[in-house]
Amino acid sequence: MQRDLVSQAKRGYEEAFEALARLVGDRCMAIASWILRDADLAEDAVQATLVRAWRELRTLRDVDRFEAWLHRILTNECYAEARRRTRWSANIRVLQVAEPADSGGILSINDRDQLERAFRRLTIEQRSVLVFRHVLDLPLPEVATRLGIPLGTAKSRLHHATEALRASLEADNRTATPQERLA
Amino acid sequence: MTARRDPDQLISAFFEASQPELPDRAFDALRSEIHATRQRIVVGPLRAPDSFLAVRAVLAAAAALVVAIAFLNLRPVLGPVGPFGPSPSPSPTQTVAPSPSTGPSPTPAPSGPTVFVSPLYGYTITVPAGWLAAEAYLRWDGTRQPGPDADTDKFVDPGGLIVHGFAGPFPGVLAAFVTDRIKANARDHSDTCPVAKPEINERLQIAGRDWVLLGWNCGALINQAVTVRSGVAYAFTLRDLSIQVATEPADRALLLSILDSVELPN
Repeated sequence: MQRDLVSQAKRGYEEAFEALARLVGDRCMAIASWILRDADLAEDAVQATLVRAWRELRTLRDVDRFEAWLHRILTNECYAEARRRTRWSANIRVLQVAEPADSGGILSINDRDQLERAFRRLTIEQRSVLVFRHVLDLPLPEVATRLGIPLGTAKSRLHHATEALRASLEADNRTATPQERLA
Repeated sequence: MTARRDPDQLISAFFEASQPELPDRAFDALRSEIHATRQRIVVGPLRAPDSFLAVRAVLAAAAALVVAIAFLNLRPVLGPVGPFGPSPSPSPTQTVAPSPSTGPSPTPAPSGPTVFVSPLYGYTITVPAGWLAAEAYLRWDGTRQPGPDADTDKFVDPGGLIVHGFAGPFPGVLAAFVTDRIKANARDHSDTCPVAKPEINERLQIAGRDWVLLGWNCGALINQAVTVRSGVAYAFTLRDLSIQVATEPADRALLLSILDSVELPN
């Protein structure tokens, strides 16, 4: 169905594109929310992405690669949004998610908080690799393709980003003295 | 001693948290924005083989259409039979049964010319072979100048042309509806149509009925044919995004041929 909608939208059929946007919009919002960690910025980025996708849709060569092509645009819009907004900082409020998934209870509130802080300290490019790898569950070569970066760069960013998240958990695992906690 | 936990497992669990959905206001805003945004046309030396083939196919189809029209010697005053109109003898046409109005669900392109009956507006129209058809699922509000939106029946050519139709009660005569549509277009499409007054404003007679053909260059060709019958106004608009003029012979001939097939309810 998505293939047909893309084909029709390429011919200027606005309703087909609106239906397509309904199909992919929430997923794009999830990706942008993870990358930007701000719902308002994410909504702006997704909206800009969909308008740009409509404008450039006739340049899409392979209709079966629509989602990959769209994600490339979305990532670029997220980067642009992050650069534009002066309120972007590592200290912005924690994103309110609808329902934190309980993954069998293995992730404590403290774990989530540590990971959230560490995630926010990553560069936006590192976050993007993590999101495409873990949220979309894509193999690394596909991650590299969708982000428009060499495979080696994707591997490097994933490695450093994962190490940073692991380090935040490792640091929390250490028993801290009362003096260290108050520091 | 604190038990060691698997950090990779924790990281995976972290990314399972749900995220906000895109709110409805974003889709509403998107609808307005794409209506005001033209798609970038890809022409000339193309990088992609499939796009190149598509453009060649469009050009070939357009050339064939021009030749066919020249051969059939179409004139502004058309008889009861046009290249896409109904013929006296049984013909391989198909009647499209519109799907229930649950949303935008275009009817797949059948193999021959297609007779479409508008569920909302009651007219019958025959569109060329291979065109997609999708009925309106909202009634026209009687004032705005719609594009290929929810309140118009839409007929889509594989090559990119779109014809959309709508209708509604109108107490005045045809001349008044013409004035009404010119004002509505200037009001609702001022962002894309820089000139309020149409370049084409031509009275025609097609299959014994009075029509007026309006033509704008809105960064794309917009030709709208309007008529009034028994207190109801009808409008059929052809949009060609590939050219930036108010009139083009092949587009004009195509629209007139389609109009020749239109049958209005009593």
